[in-house]
Amino acid sequence: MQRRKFLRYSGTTALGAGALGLVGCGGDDDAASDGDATTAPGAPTTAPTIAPTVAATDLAASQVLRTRFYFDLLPMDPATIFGIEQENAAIAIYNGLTKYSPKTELVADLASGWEQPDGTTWTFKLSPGIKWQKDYGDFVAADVVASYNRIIQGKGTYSKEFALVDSITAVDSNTVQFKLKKPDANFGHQVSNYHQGSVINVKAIEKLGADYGLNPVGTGPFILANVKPGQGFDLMRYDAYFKGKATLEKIEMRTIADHNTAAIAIKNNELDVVMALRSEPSLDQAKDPNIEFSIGDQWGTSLWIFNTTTKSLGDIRVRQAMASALDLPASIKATSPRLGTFGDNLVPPWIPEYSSDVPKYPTDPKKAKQLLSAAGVPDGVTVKFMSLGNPSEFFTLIQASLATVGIKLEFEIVDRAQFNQRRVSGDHEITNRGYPTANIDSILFNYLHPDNMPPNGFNGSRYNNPDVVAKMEAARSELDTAKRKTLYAEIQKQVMTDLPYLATNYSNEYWAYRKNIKGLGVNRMPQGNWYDLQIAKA
Amino acid sequence: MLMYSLRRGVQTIPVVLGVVTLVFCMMRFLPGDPAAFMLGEGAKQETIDAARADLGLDLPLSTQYVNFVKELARFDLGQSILNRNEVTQLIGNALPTTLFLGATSLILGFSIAVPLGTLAAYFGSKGKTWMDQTCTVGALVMDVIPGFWLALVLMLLFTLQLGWLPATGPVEWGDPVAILKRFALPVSVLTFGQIGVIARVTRASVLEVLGDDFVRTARSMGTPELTVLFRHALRNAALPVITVAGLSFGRLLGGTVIVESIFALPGMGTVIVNSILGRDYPVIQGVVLVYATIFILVNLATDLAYTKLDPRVSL
Repeated sequence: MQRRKFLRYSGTTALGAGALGLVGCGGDDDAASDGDATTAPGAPTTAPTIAPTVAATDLAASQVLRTRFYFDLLPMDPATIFGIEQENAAIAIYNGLTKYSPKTELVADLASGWEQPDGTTWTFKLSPGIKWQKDYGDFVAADVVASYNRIIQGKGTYSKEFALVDSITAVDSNTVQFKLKKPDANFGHQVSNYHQGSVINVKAIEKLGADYGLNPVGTGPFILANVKPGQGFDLMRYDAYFKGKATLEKIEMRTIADHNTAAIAIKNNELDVVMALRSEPSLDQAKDPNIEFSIGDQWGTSLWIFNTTTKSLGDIRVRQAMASALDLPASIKATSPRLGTFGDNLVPPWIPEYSSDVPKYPTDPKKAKQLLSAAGVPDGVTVKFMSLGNPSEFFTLIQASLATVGIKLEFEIVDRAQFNQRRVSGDHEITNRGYPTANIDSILFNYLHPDNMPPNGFNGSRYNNPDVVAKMEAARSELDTAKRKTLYAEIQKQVMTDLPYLATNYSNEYWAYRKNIKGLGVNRMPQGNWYDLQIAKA
Repeated sequence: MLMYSLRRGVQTIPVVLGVVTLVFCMMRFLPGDPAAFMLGEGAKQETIDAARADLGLDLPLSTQYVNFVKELARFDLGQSILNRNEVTQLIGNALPTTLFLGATSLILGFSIAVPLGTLAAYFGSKGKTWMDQTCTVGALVMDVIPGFWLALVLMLLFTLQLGWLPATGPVEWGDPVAILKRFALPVSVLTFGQIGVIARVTRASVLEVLGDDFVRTARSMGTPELTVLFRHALRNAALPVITVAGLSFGRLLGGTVIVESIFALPGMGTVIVNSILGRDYPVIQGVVLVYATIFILVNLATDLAYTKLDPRVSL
């Protein structure tokens, strides 16, 4: 095979992005849309940018960042880390071989660069001079091998993400080589600083045991400290960080569950950054001349999962009737004009392999009724939607739209633990999910591959189309970009015809920050870039 | 009284055990698994099973219960499933916040509501119905205003408009001024609800007593009206007020859950909400145990207060 080099010792790639693992990081987002709900998919909204570096003389005397965190910190073991807020703590503590930039490009992290000499070999050269936090010594290639082998051997949640890995070898102290069972054009995402890709110190885990979770040892720019359940925790600057110490001395993560309270707090200068404002009123509340927003726009598709093993939803015409009965753009515009964008594909439009050539389902109640008649249910059907908490106004509108064609939507309201468990077991008729990834393979394999049917994965629809599976496998291993895109386009077209999932919107993540905080750029994972932040004089 | 207190203390044990047993069973019969929550949705079944075994959740329910009671007898509430902290430590960190919040609100609410209700009754008895009705309607409004709404209104007013008080921030026990500022809004929210309930009961009770013979006698002997009202009438009308205040402490504890969440206070309410969301059984059981104990102790104190207020009551 012709030797191929991908961005040798360089920085970025636009292969797509993604590291999966993302298994289940979202799912409770209601509906959302961009300010203009008629914006065509594919037209990106505001791209995150990074402010210029602040001159030393303009830096504030105190470089302590006060940030809103919205849940208690859970154990920081990359084998099990789950949830956007938890990931945002982990990226400050750990590094992957790669990571995502504020523009969601895959860039080098622990690696100074990488080579892909053939389809199945990935060789990463490590940056020199990396040291573990807390005096755990030098970071070497063997640490990467031990860390990833721990995942492969089944520790935690994400072993599937390394399913194609045949072996990992420390070629020398600065070089790690992966041999894959089959080519994976997107493998760079699997070793990013996200879930399983974050490299841990296995010796520390062995030494600390169950206590490791709140005493993690990484190579990242900050060290976890002062964890106080119900109150928050601190991220203290790690001065020996291999890229140079961060400007911030400390990040105080304060647990504030309520979005409105967080908005009021930043407006009152009690906080510098508010992670994830996820209600429209709180976005209004946070408006202030001293506050700006960084937006992880269209970070993921919010989907309705149709359980196709049920009698009514097993009929493609009923699913298509539902899609045709809805006026999603109007519903989104009326209820969540900023928190998302109307979406019509499983794949968000910013992912390079996105295809707009998919069937559309414009609002057409007449067609919906025809489809229901053809399905033998001219009087409509009753379907149950499992909802995390009370359904939002968006769902009330949706319910009304469906009612006009005779589809009765009933809500089963459950709490988070029950929601997660039932989604895992596939015990629902319809529910929703949204999860962040920049890797199209993560989206397609998780949602569409029969191996990932409940309880083994995200394929809650129980979609099983051998042709689609064959094309997914082929596309993942295809190294020719044009051929890959063609295969992915065919898959998207087929899936949006079969409609096992209905894309309702692409979600936008809003982080509010005070104007004197410089350098913040929330990417589409959505992650903040803590290391880059600086506090300028107010 | 000492014997009574001891007897009640002993009686408390089966009540508390009953409460935690109920919670133990309810939580386990609810759908939702802590191991699955902890590991996230992508976890394989064998990984979840291993975590369940590690946490002892694979044991029969009866065995889990026996283990729980054994540990409880040793005052060991176990470890949090989610973050591995000792439950006693979690509760120890959170309890001062909730107790301060609850006790301050109760005392403040009592201090405002009792005079308010007494005056309303007085004006009512004197035929000044508009003043009585003003007090009564005011108390009713306080009772029905939702705490979460009031919390946001107070934050908008005192935090954003006036800039006097913070909405969030650390709880620094060593700094009385900071504590005063930090708790002013949440205490106000809880106090508001307390005033409504206690003032209405006080009014009804005092109004009834003001028609009694001993009040007429005191007035005919030239006793000052304030003395008649607050020393004689109120004391004799106090039993129902004390009873309601004791019972409403339960409502107050429930209110702390919402108020702590809104004002980001690190109290028991915050702990129990997060633990319920994650099905963190040991923490839920521990917090409920403490809540139940506090509630029972407050009601014991209420019973003991009867003897001080009315010598006819014997325990």
